[in-house]
Parts: sequence; C-alpha cells; structure tokens
Amino acid sequence: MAERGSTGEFSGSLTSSTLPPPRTRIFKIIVIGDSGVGKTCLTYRFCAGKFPEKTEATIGVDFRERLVEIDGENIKIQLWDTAGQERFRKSMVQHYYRNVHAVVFVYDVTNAASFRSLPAWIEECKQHALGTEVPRILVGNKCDLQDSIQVGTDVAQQFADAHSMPLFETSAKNPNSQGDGSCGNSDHVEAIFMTVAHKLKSQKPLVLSQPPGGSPGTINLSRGRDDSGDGGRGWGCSSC
Amino acid sequence: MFQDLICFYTRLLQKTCLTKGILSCSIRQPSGDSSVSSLLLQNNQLKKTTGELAFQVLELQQHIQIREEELKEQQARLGEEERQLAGAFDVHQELQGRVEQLQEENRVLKVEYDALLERQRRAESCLRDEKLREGHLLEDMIHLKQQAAARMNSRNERRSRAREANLRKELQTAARSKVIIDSSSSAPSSRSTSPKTSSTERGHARLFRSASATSPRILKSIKDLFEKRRGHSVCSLEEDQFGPVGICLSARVPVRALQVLEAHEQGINAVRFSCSSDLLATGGTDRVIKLWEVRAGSLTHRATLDGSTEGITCIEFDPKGLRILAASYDKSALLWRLDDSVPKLTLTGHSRKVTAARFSGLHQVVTGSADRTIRLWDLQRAACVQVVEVASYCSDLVCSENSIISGHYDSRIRVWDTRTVSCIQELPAQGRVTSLDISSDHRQLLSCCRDDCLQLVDLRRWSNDRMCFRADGFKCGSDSTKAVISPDGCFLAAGSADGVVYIWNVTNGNLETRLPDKHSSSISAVSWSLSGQYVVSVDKSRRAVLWSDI
Repeated sequence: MAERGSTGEFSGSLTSSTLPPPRTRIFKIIVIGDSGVGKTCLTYRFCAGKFPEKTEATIGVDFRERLVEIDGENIKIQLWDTAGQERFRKSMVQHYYRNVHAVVFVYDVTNAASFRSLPAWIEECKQHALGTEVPRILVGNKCDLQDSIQVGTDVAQQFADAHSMPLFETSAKNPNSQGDGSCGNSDHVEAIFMTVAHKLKSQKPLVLSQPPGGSPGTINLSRGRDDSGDGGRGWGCSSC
Repeated sequence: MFQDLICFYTRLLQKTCLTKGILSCSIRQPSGDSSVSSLLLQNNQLKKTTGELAFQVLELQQHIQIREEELKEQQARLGEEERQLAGAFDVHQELQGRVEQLQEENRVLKVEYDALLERQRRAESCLRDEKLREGHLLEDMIHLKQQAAARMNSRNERRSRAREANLRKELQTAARSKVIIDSSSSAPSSRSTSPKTSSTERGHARLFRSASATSPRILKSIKDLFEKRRGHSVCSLEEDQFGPVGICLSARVPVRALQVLEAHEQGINAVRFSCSSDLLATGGTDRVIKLWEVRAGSLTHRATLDGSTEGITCIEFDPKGLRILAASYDKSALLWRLDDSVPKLTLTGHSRKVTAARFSGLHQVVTGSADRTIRLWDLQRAACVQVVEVASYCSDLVCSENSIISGHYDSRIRVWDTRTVSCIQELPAQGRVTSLDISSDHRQLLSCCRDDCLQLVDLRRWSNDRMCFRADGFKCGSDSTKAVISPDGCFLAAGSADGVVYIWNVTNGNLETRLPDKHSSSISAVSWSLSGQYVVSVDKSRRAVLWSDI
C-alpha cells in the first residue's frame, strides 16, 4: 500500500501512471550536457514522438518514460532529463547518478563551447564512480542547421573514439534530415535510445546472470569480458 | 548753425541801416556836380552792395534750406531708428516670454524626470524583491525536484529489489522441489520454512552491507528460536516468542555516560533496544528511525529507516528482532524489515496520530491512537481486524498474554481481553497516563503519570498491591514521557523534565541514583538493554546519551 502512494507524485510521465507489472524492467538513463544543447527536446522527441514547441530551462530534473518492447520483453525506458545550468542542478547531482543504467552525453554541433565542455561532464561522471559497464553514448544535436555547424564530424568522432563511446549526430527537430541515412526513414532519435536499450537488455544484470547453482566466479568472468573486449565501441552504430 | 545765420543776418541789417544813414546824409547835402557824381557813385556802389547782399541773402536762404533738409532727413532717420528700437523691444519681450515658457516647460520636465527617477527606483527595488522571490521559488522547486528524484530512485530500487527477490524465490522453489524429490520423505511445515528464512536473510546480508554487521547474531537468535520450538508442542509457540532471547540475571545500575551524541535533526521521541541488545533504534520528529549498533560502549550509526511522513512516536522490535514497528504522527503505523530502509507495510486507518504500536503476536499488531480507538491488525493480510472504541485518548499500550493494557488521558488504565475484545478491568491512575511498561516476566505493570509519579502494579493481584515512586526534582516532562522497568524487574528508569535520569529500586521503593548533567532539555524516553548493561536516554533537543556502569 505504501508503494501505491508514491505513484501519484510522478510528474512528466507520458506513459500511464499505473505501475506496470513488476516483471517490467526499468532502465534509468540520464541525459547530460551543457545548457541549451537540446536535452529536453531529445528526450521529449523520444517519449512523445514530436518536437516540443517551446521549452524552458529545466530546473533540477524532469522525468520522461516510455514503454518499449524489445525481443518480446516489455521494458520501461526512464529518461532523466537533467538541468544543464549549474545553478539548477548543483544540489541534485548525486540523485542523477544513483543506480543509473546508461549515460547520454549531448553537445550542440552549432556550438563549439558545448563540445569543449564534454570532458568536464565525463569527469563529473567519473567522480560519481560509475562502473565501466555503464554504457555511455555521445550525441551531437541540432545537425539540421547545416549552415552553422561548428563541430565537425571528424573531430567529434576522434573525441568519441578517445573515450570509447559511440557517436551519433542527429536533430531532435528534424531527425529524418540525416542525409547519409544510416537508419533509413525511421526516426533517428528513437533509433539512438533504442540502441542503448538493446545494449542494456543484452547486458544481463550481474545478480541475475548467475545460473542456478553457479559459483560467483562466473560473474567476474562475464563482467571482465564486457569491459575489456569491445569497450563499448562494438555495440553502437555510429551514423557518421 | 542757426545762430551763425542769425548773427550774420543782424550784421547785415546793421549794415543796411548804416548805408541808409549815409544815403540820407548825402541827399540832404547836395553839393555840386562833384557831389552829385560822388553820390551817383555811391548810389551805384550801394546798389552793388545791395545786390551782393541780396545774393548773400539768397545764398544764406539756400543754406537754410539745405540745413532744413538735413534736419528733416535726420528726423526721418531718428524716427526710423525709433521704430527699429520698438521692433527690437517687441522681439525682446517676445523672447523673454519664450524664455519663461521654456523655463516653465523645464520645470515640468524636471518634475516628470523626478517622477521617472522615483519610478525607476521603485522598479529596481521591485526587481530586487522579485529576484529574491525567484531565488526562493527556485530553491523550493529544486527541493521538490530533489525529493521527486529521491523518490524515483527509491521506487526504482524497490522495483529491482522486488524483481530480484521474486527471481530468487523462484530459484529457491525450483531448488527445493528438487531436494524434496531426492529425499522423498519430508517434514512439511517447520523444515520448509526455516531454510527459506535463513537463506533470504543471507541474501539480504550480501545485498545491504549496512545490515550485515547485525545479521549473524540475529541469525543465531532465529536459529535459537527454531531450536527451541522443535522440542515443544504447537501450543507453547507463543510463549516461546515472548520469552526474552537473552535472559537478564541482573541489571546493572548505570553510573556514567559513555557517549553523548546529537542523534537526530529534531527532537527524539522514542528509543528502544532490540532483544539482542546490540541494536538500538531511535525515532524522532525528523520522521526517520535510526538504527545504531551498540558495541564496546559506543553507538555507531548503521542505517536510517524512512517512509513516515511525520514524526515517530513509538518504536518496537518484533520478538525475533528482524522487524521494527513504529507509530507515527501521520496517523499510521509502519513496519520495516531491518535490512530495508523502505517500509514493508503501512497500517492506515486511524484518524489522528498513532501514539503506540506493539506486537501482540508474531503476525499481530495493536495500535493505540489519539482518535480514542485501539486497533488490532493482521500483518499477513495487512488489514485492520478489530477496532475498539475507548472513552479517552490512548497514550500508550502494552501486550501481555491474551490481554492488552492501555493507558489513557482520563487517568485510567484499562485491561482488554484480546479474545473477546472487551474491557475486563479498569485501574485508576493519579493523572494522565503518559506511558506503560510491562516487566519481562509479565507480572508487573509500570505506568508513568503527569502527576510526576511512577506506579507499579502487580498484575497477579489486580489493584490490591500498588507501589508509587516519586523523587524530589522528578517531573514528568510531557504527555508522552516514557518510563521503563529494567529487564530483571529490579529497577525503574525515567527521564525528568530537567534532563536528569532517575533510577528507583523496586525492592525498597527508594531512589537508587540520579544521572544529571548530560541532557539540557526534557527527556522524552529511556530504554534499558535486555542484557541489563546499558541504558539510553533521549531528549527533545536531539540528544541521545548511552549510560553504563563501566
């Protein structure tokens, strides 16, 4: 009965407010990056399927959820749309990183400064002791503004490679404008988050990956393989 | 110039007169031819002179005319100058008028400017205020968002934990069914429950490090319980539960404070030792219960249980020491497992604050409330099974075998039979009852009243035998001050409004000792560990003190 009480408080959800059956797994994904790079637009695009007409600076955090089905399993993707402005986020940071399943770094391709501050975001991530098994991706937003691009794809790709992250360039406003068509006609923003969800789904939780009666040693083995092998590069598809 | 002319003219006239005189003379003395000729000559001369003079007159007249014209011209010029002057004067006046007008306009503008300046100042102060408000709003908003985020996180954690537990249970059922098939014979009830409980316990210990320090001992105590139960019949089960796990032979009267700490963020209302004596729970107005490990004479914070939306009023551990029950100002009672900071059950139904919550069996809870009801709850169904209406505010209650004893604000202690749920006895008290405690052998009942007196009743000889304990300086500080009986039943402990812990000796009825100087405000509750070794007192100014005789 105590559990029921808290669901009413949930705000910003676009899915129904009732709790899904306990079998549904929740993936908590945080979206971070400088102020004004389009984090809110990206998450809104994914959860509501459209570009928001008007957004204001996010204060603290907004939660957006979407129920998706992957390989027959219902999975709830819980996006934490974090505030980019320091004064709106400073006291919230430890909440962001608690039990997070994946991190999405966002920069604005038309704003070189937002790209330059990525190392600071990655550093913050590090400070909150996120394990290497937590997938991270890099998203360059606003690539529909072809004329004012300041961050070249090659520079961004180098940076992504250096940090073993897959890179995506997209636009929350017009995700289909992607010329090279790595994802055809489908919604590119959706494809990005679904890629993360697929990755998370295939990455079995440590406790659960233990076969009945198996020794704890198997956990370490599987984890080790995950870390060293592909380092995150192998699973993502860079569109650029 | 005129004067010159006039002078000239007069001289001319004189000359004319002179000439006339000469002429008359010559006329009167005509003398010969010579005289005639001279006269003729003179006449000619005169004529000539007259002509000259006439010419001179003409010339002078011409001069006069020229002068007059000059004069006229000058007069005309003068007039013109005067006109110009008048014009200039007009212009001057006009300009002066404009100057005045402009000055007037300037004044108006200045006033307007001042008004604008004032408005600007006001707007600026308004802006400052708004900025301040914005800051406050932002702070509030961020605070709310923080809470939302924390709630979201705990929800996620709860969900994943529930999933894990489910999976684990499935695994266990799978594993167990195999075992049963292998060993074909089975002892159904006791065998199937005991391994399950202990294995879940082990699982939790691995997951939550904070609880791990306490679990081995808890585990041992459960094992002890099961060991004991095996030998007995089913009927004796309840007795076993109520029997203290570690029996205290003699309580030691504390003499000094081992530790003083600010345990909560607001006043502390309740304190309780678990039956294993190494775990202490405190509950405060700050809405949380904190668990402390008691080891080597000091308290170490182990875990915080949250979930109540208001302050905690009363705490109790279950007989096995695995769960903790609390009553709250938020009109509910809450039940936690010790290894989980989120409440397992919330019992709602009371309409005012819940003042007391006690286990009356392994799966049964009794709560008393300010709404003048006592409720019985079944924990397995998480439902209220019985509501008892009482005449007065219930401040505390205790459970004995098949009975519930409740203390009330109408200075009465009532005894209820749990089977029939009827009041079987009423005992008078000297004032509002603030707390009750029952000795571990269930023979003696301690009540604390607002008249600053502790009363000990022998439950075997109802109402006949009654001892009162008072002391100089002892003053019951609030309507919920809690007094306790030591685990061996030989001493009573209570905290006073002046921050002193008083301990009485039951056998002779005298004050045994006073423990002053550590609390600075009214003591709200004390608890005596079952080992008899420690006493903890808590007060309204966030302080908890651990006392011992060492």
